[in-house]
Amino acid sequence: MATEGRAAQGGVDAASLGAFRVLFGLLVAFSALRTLALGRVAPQYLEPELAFPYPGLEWLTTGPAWWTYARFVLLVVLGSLLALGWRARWTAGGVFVLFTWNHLVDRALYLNHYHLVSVLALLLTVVPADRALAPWARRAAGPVGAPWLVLLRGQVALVYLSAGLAKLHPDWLFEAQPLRTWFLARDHLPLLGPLLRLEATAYAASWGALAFDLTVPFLVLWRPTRRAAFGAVIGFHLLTVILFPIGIFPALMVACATLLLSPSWPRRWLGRRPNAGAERAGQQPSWRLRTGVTVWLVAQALWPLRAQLSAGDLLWHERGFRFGWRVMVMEKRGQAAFLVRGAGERVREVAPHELLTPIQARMMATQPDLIRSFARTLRARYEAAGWEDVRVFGDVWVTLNGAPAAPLIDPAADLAADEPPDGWILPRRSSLGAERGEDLGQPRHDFGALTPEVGRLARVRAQVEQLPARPSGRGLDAAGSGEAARPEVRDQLPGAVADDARVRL
Amino acid sequence: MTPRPRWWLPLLLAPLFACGGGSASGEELRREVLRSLTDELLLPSVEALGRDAHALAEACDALAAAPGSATLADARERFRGLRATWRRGEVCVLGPLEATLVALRVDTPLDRGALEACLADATPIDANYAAGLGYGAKGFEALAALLFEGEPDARERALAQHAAAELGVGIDGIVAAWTRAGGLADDLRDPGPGRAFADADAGVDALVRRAVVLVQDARDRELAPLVGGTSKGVVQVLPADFDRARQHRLDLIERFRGLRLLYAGGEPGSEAAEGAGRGLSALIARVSARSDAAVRAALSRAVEAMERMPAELEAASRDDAPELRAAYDASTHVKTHLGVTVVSTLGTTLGFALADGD
Repeated sequence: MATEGRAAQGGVDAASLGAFRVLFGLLVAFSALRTLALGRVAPQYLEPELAFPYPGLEWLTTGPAWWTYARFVLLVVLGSLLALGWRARWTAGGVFVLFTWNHLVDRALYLNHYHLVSVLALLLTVVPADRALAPWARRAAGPVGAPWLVLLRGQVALVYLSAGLAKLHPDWLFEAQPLRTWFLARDHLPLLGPLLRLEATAYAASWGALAFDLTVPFLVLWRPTRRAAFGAVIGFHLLTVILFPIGIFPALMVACATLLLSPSWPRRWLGRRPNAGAERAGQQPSWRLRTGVTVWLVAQALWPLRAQLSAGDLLWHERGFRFGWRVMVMEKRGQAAFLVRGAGERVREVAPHELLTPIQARMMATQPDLIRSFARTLRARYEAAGWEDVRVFGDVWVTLNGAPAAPLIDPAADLAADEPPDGWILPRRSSLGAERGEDLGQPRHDFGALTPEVGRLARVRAQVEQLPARPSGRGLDAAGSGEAARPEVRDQLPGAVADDARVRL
Repeated sequence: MTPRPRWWLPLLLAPLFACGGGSASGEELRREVLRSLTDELLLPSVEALGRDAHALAEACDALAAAPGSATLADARERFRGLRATWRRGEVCVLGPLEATLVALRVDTPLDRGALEACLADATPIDANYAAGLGYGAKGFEALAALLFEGEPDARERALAQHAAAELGVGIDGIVAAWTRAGGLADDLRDPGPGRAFADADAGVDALVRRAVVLVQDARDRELAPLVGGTSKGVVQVLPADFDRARQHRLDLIERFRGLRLLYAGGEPGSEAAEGAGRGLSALIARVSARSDAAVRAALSRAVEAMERMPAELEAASRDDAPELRAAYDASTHVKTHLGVTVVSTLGTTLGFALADGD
């Protein structure tokens, strides 16, 4: 601790930074290689007919197929070069640009660990991580200013702490969800299976993970508990590898946790003498560096808290959910259907899979901002097809953390309006009433409530009686309902009930 | 150096052995549910279907041989009995294509034109003649029209006789597909490679998908026309010759009863349906008791809503009877719970993620 105390004020051994750079570069290369090998490039980037761009980043697209594949190939190369320490800052910059490009082209692709990779790559463009374990480095090996290490350590600690704070949620604490659900999905595992079936295991794991996230950065930093805590880090993330298919995330977090070890751990691990002199030899870091590191870490600490500005359950409405390190805190699935209405009472029901890939459809059905984006896309497309005064309504039901399905969106809200109507995201409904047989609200898959003029047969008949006959050809059969309407009704139905079968988007 | 005793090792391993004989794993439970549903619900339903089909054929034989109010009443009663069994057990129509095809054919919507052409034809009706007819003129709905739309004349009785026989043959196909050695019952009871269901997941998946299809069909095809509900944005209207046999409401009641049976594993209050039940309920309840309660409540409300519908459906539809809207909404609720709550809960169990999620 004493050595590290001095180090924090001056220079520190760059060995742990170098080791992290090596591990990080290898993981980036492996991740890109894995994406290519698993054939995920096409379904995630090339097959989608449309994407959900981030606001302000609409210009960012995946580009042609060759460039999309090239990005992943380049990531393999750049990740490897970063591990070797060849022009580390530039290669880290390349990794940052390409990796961030890949996950910012579509909000439906958001993952916390993708964001973490981008942040770490960005930091490595400024951190002198090539001062150790970099045979190809152009710069001489030596100590680095302590704030560089503080920067990365602080970033890693914030990830753990934010993940811990996100677990302070009633579902996690009092219902052991979503771990209970996920454990039961893995109860066929040898040895672990019987344990995973126990409710107590889910509760113990929930509270244990909470305690782990909130304390482990400090326990690894503190020398007396360092070994045990780092062992816990490895054990914890090893368990997540066994239980959950979450890609490189466990390995990435173990690599990050090495930053919390002694700065000289790689030398000790490699059997070399710790470079004690180097730890004291660094120059006093500039005030600019210290200020910059402080500002960055404060901003990183505050940014996830923006979600607290929105009332209601964050896991339900997801306002401010992204880029907040809320890792593995929900199992959420939904079902969405949309009704497009235009002037002249043109009506068409749209299923998400008509335009979206399975991954996009699944993500969209549970995330209100994606739902609204999709509605606005529908509006634009139908307007382009000649429809006027287009409004889009959504019927979206979601199940969150083992609760019964409940409506996410107000079915009467025009989701394509320029300004979203107040209350368009419904509050999370307590599902406890379901056990007492209480009604939890009525699904509106038929959108009957939204189309009162066509919602009741009696009304349709009344209109038919009042309206003059229309030329045939826009009847229900033409709409492809598959149902033969009564001819005298079908031929005289007002436009309100007719789909426009010509529009196929 | 003497190694220190690892006193903590037994403590660490104890829970593994302590709970080893505890509750069944998800895979074991799925197999248990499939066995239970097959032996206590599906197979008995299929066997009852065969018995009722033969009873109807015999009653129609009797009606043709000795026309009269007694034989007609008996034929009608047998038809109602078979129809109830059929609608309650429609979930059995799954798996191998042969059974599905047979089912689709016998339950073809009435082709009024074909039926009237057949009745106006002078050719004597015999087995060969009936075999040449489409199921729109000899399936369930055609038979209902023959038996319930007034007193059948000689030609109608003859057609009913042969239609009932044809229906019996079609249903025999379903029964055979289930009961023969290595048939659907065996496949569902003990799924595995080389069988209709490669594993327990596939068996459960088939049952859930079948249930979702049935509730969607009830809602879009049978209930939506009553309330002017929409399907794919298109309003549904009643056909001109709607429900002359007064069978529509009974059909809906039995379909939702069948879905409730499948979910709960038995009739409400029965031992099989107690607690988490022996049906699909058991799979949901182990993950979320709240979700299980919600699905059960939705199904029970749907059955009650169907039962509350007036017998005169066309008149009720014209009068905008609130019971019809309640039934329609209840069916939509069941559809949502089966499609979202059940599928999501089982989906978590059957396939974790489409990508690397965190």
